[in-house]
Amino acid sequence: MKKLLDFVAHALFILFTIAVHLVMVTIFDYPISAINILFIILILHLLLYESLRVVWMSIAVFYILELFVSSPFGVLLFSGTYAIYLAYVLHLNVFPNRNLVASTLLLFITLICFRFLYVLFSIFAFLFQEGSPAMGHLVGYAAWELLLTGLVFLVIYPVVLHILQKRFFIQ
Amino acid sequence: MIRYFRFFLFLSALLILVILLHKLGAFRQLENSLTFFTSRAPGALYQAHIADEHLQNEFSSVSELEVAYKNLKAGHKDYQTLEARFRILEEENLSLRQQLGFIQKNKLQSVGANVVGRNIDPVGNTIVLDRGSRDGVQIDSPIIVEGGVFVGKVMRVYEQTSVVRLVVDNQSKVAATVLNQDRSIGIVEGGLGISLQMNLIPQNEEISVGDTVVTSGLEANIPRGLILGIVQATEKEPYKPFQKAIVTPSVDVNRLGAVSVLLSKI
Repeated sequence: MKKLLDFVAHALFILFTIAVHLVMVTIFDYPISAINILFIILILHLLLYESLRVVWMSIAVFYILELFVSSPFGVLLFSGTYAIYLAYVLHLNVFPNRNLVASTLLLFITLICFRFLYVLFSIFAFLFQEGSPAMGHLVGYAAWELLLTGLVFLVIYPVVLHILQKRFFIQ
Repeated sequence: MIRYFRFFLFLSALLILVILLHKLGAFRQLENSLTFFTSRAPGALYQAHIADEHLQNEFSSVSELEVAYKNLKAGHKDYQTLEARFRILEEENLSLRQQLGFIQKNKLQSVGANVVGRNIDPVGNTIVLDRGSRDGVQIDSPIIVEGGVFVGKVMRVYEQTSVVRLVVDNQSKVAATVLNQDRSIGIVEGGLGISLQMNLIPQNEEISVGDTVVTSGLEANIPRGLILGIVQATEKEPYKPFQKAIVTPSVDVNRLGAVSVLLSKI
């Protein structure tokens, strides 16, 4: 029963994460829409629970997002999941503490890795289908994404950490 | 380290399997439900956001807005809100009548749809509609607004939701005709931000700024005569066999609220 409840809670959490991301990109204009809420939430989950579960969650999150995007199927799934797995490995081995600087750095590295893999997989995917990836706009977008996502993370991370530590006694 | 690498290989195999199962349609039912549930909440907010933008467009400056605000405070709040709502409905009504007029005149079958999401992918220009295969929407169905202005084609269809590639997307290609003396044909492509580019226009044909560009009807599913935009500039190089034209779309595709999906000819 506990496992079932845990599964339902995670499924709802994934749907909530996607809904928040869709609201951000749909309602706000560029560059505000470039804030990557998905990575903020997934990195926060990783920092708070330090569990491999974040990788399984990222598969679900990016799979659902793939259903709405125009890029070839799999590009977002591969790049997003690999980036989160890298974040998991880095967190356990390179940035094991949860201080603000290390956590923000972890987020930056994950986002840079995500966009790098995104470009790489896009180029690879377009080898097998007609068209070409639109990369001109992506550099500016990635810069805004990095800056704004970092700023939002810097603001909300201490608050979230404080609340969760008090409420759930997370060490 | 080997442990991480082993998991990485397992993860890669799993992702490949997931993509294969998706391509085979094994997750079709699940995808239909997921797209329905995840797009509804943002969709409602987007519709409210579009309505709010219409309200904001009522004022041309901050001082006008302040005056209106004071008036509202003085007791006209309900009246003005109702009036604004009435204007939105009037605009929507006019837009839908224009769409219907075009559809009836050309004996086309269509279904109205609300936009419930947009540009989820940063490198793509897409919108998400609240209509899907259950309503007869198919891949490559054309999407129009107002009096037959073409804004994009359906690229993914789920049971109750569909994803549209807008005409300004870098992968969008539409067979088009310029309404000039030669009725020049070419391909209208996106990828230029808010403008379009018409390529493969024969060099010897005369194109002028201000000419209207419409769909040529040479493409399956897309009828002739849907408006794409107006020629803004032409690029003619003497050593090239074809000339280009920069086309400005007739509508702002980033502010779409309601659209029509053309299904098929009666």
